[in-house]
Amino acid sequence: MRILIFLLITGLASGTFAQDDTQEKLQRLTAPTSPASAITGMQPTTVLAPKTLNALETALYNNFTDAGSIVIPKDLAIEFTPYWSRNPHISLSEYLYPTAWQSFLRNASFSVSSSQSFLLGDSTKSNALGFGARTSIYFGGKNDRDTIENYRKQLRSADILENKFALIRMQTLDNPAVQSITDFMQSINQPLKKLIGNLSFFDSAAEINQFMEAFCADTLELPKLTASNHDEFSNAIAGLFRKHILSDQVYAHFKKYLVNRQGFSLDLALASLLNFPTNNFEFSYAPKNALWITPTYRFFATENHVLKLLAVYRYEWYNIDYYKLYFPGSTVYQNNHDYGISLAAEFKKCSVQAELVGRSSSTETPLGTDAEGNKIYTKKRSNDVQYLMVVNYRLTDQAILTFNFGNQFNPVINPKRTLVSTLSVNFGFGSPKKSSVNLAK
Amino acid sequence: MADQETIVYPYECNFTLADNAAATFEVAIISSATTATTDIATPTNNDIPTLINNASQGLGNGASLRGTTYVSSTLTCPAGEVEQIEVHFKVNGTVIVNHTNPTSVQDRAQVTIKIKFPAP
Repeated sequence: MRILIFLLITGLASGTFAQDDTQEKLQRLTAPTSPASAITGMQPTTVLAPKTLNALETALYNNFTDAGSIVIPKDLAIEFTPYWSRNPHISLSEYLYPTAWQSFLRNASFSVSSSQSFLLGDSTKSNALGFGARTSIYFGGKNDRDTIENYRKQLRSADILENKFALIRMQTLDNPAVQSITDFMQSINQPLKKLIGNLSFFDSAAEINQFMEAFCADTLELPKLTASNHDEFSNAIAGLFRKHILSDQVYAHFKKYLVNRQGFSLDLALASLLNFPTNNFEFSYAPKNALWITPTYRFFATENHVLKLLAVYRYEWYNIDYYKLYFPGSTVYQNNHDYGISLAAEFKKCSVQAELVGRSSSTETPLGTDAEGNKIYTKKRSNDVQYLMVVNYRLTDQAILTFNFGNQFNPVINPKRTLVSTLSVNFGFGSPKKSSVNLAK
Repeated sequence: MADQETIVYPYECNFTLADNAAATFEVAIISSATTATTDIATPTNNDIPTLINNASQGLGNGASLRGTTYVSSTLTCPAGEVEQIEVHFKVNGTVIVNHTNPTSVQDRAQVTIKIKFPAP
């Protein structure tokens, strides 16, 4: 698992939001990937994504029980996608081109998050649970289909070339006269040239010769060929071959495209917060609920460029009684409607997102009853605007510089602090390698 | 040298076949969102058409298969939701190789099979 360290270098303005206000995280426009975590306002230290029902059961049992009693784990998030908990036996074409309903089912996921340090208004730590669900429905168009089919065609040609090369490789290695890499390269030279020519993988004889020269030169770096290391050698030369015909690169671009497909998608998410203000399981409140509806259109998505337009509707409804009790002095409205648009672009090392969101809040308070016994309410309204710009710049593969600037909604705590101006660097440290993990343990 | 990524999954197997008995090779994809592109070279035929995904192909009779038959299949699963690639390779309906590998290790794997068809 990738470990990320968030280093806040500087808060350039006095209005920078407070780090310890866990419920006051900057609310971004996009639907959250984990609605349960978003509603608790936490950054989970452990994220579990069990793939099967048995694994889900084990995760829940291990984390939410202790000596037969139910416990709230510290900063844990669990995500579960039921559709993929068993093999649905679908082909790649069915996977790539689902109907709206299939898309809804396949992307539906449920999340639970927990926190032992949900801060109340007086900074008391309390236990909290978040429950969430989300899905995404994708509607691709002709351009998307053309792009995908183009990738698939390129990859199929590469597959055939790699297979034919593997057949030559196996036949050559089975020849007892082949004792070294030099023998091997001499034996495969003509069949490989003929193969590449026959499959029309390159446009000209000059390109074939250029490929052969570069490929042969790089074989000098392969492990020495001996009678006992055919498997290791085969693996190494297969990797080198992929590198030279660029099939790995095409495949990497294909996978990246699948994550950012051109076309229209609709993200839906729902979440609910459950708080135990006295840390007693028999006394709880559901102080906050949220619904996100986010339609997105991606204009184009190439290897290095993505441009998308998002719209959002977010509805949050609060339990006013709870906030009066545990956040005295704070201004909380019963109903909050957020609506806005965002434009996001990625260009090589840089990504920029600008968003403008309006908020309409209201609370109905009962005043009593009139002479005829009808209930009378007073309605309190408020409107707010949030505008933000986020710029990310990838310094290296392991470090990203992020600059946030704008004006956020009035937070529940410190309501006048709305100016956002932060500069941060996110460092990523690589995942453990197979060789560094003791699999016997 | 840096850790070498596992690409090739090599298998060897025997399938007893009488001289006049025909052999049919079959690819059956088990895991979802997976493709298989398979090429075969028998001792007497290097021009067998490529098999795309679930497909079968006659290889000839036992007498023509006494050397080694080579198979190479490139299995691809770009779906991040799928944990494991699983494909069965069969001869005359019998599974000779049940290949599985985690997609986290390789989601574009090359399976190679050397098959010998000894006479009974």
